[in-house]
Amino acid sequence: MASESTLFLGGMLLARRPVAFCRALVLAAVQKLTVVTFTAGVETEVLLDGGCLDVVRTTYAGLEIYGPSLGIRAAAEDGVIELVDETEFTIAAGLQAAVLGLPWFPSTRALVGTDYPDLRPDIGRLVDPASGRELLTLPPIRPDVAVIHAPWADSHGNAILRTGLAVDHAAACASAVTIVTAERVLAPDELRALGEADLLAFQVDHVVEAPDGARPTSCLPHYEHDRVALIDLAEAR
Amino acid sequence: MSAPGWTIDELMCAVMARQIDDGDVVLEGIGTFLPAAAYELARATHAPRLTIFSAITGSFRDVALPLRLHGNESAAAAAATRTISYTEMVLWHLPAYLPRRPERWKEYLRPAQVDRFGHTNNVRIHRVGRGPVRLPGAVGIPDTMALHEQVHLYLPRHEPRVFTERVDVLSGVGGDGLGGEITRTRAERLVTDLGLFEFAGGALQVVSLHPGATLEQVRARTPIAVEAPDVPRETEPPTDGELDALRGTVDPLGLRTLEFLTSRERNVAIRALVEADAGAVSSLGAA
Repeated sequence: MASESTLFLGGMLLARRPVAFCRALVLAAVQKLTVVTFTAGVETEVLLDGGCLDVVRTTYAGLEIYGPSLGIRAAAEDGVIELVDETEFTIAAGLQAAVLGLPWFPSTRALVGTDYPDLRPDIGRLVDPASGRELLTLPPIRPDVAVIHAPWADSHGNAILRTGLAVDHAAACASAVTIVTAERVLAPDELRALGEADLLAFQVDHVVEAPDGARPTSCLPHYEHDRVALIDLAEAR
Repeated sequence: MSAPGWTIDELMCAVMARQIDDGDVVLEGIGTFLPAAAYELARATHAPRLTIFSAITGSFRDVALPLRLHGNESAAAAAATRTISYTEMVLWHLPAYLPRRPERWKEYLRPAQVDRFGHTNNVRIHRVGRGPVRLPGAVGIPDTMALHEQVHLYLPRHEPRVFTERVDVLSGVGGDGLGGEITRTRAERLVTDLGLFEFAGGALQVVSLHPGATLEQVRARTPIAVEAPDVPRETEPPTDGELDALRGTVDPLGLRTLEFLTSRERNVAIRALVEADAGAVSSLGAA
């Protein structure tokens, strides 16, 4: 992975976070990344502590009931990273705009009336010439690389995600390169026996087996999130 | 005063459950155990056709699910009628159904800051003499709060620092909402450990005070305009039916009380629950 790229991290909250991949990026000393992720937690903190980050774009930085993400909060408050406030809509719409090749995605409802157009210089205002109504323009989100952790994949790149789908399908479509890290990489007929795939081989550029690759977050059905480890992490800050 | 046969968290849970109607679609938030318990309590008492959306799995469910720590994600996944992506939720379901009348979609939101117009802030707070304090983020609130016919807020602790003349960052549109294209008669309510309130006329209106709470306490803890009738109504305490359901099947571990604790207290409590739970669960062989 090149420094200064835009990296999408899959999963959300405490489910299917590509933690092992992030640790590998730290070892590879990749720097100045822009991370786009639906919610930022353990996986993003790994990159933050590894000195890899410039920008984090996310709707939420925290560890659910285990507390806020104190590392991301402190880094943002101190200006070590730029934390860009996204919403569920700006991320979903941004990925969709990238897929469709649109210059922006319009919103007539989401974010209207909020301070987001002031928080986000990249969110614009337009007047629809037909109706005279004001709408907001949301920027496309076009990651260079998407990394998604899956409970199973096959050697061709078909992958089962199961739950905590977040915006992973859209990110695979919108990103230049998609990497799947999988608890287990199976033969194609073994994967098919488990059920239909969520990501298809033509969407996935690289597959790598990474057992325990989401820990301490969950990867159902293999393991739930590790509550004690998360408390330890939260208390260590 | 003799101790009531219920705790404040049980009362608040019952009040929140009563505001849910049968056939509603309700959205769980991030780690929000009190609303989660209220939704299941509503289902158990008067709303058997409730559909609950679980954020941890991204799935809709129509069946009852007790609150639990160990195995909660697996259980939510197993109980799902359908698991969806957030792309589907945000670009299809929320825009299609949340504003549709009559109001059927509801969610309980916990604001870090709320002003006298009912606008909320979950982005950052400006402190006098210090740099701004980052909050975890507003997630989906900026997208949809303006569109609800009924906005439901809750605060486990009615603390002065939450209430402000004008929010530092407006991330949730309260009060009259958008007006214009989507016309509505909006109601914005707030449940706290002191009472049930409504934002109207630029002030916090007292709808009812919980047994044991006084108007003086409310005024002392609310640094914005508070309006109340001369003799405010008293919140109806939880019924035996509500308590039996809550303690028996909905939230026997009392996970809803975690929201009343500070971060540190909560982690201590979770550790204790995990240790107790692991023993109980291993004997059940559940996963």
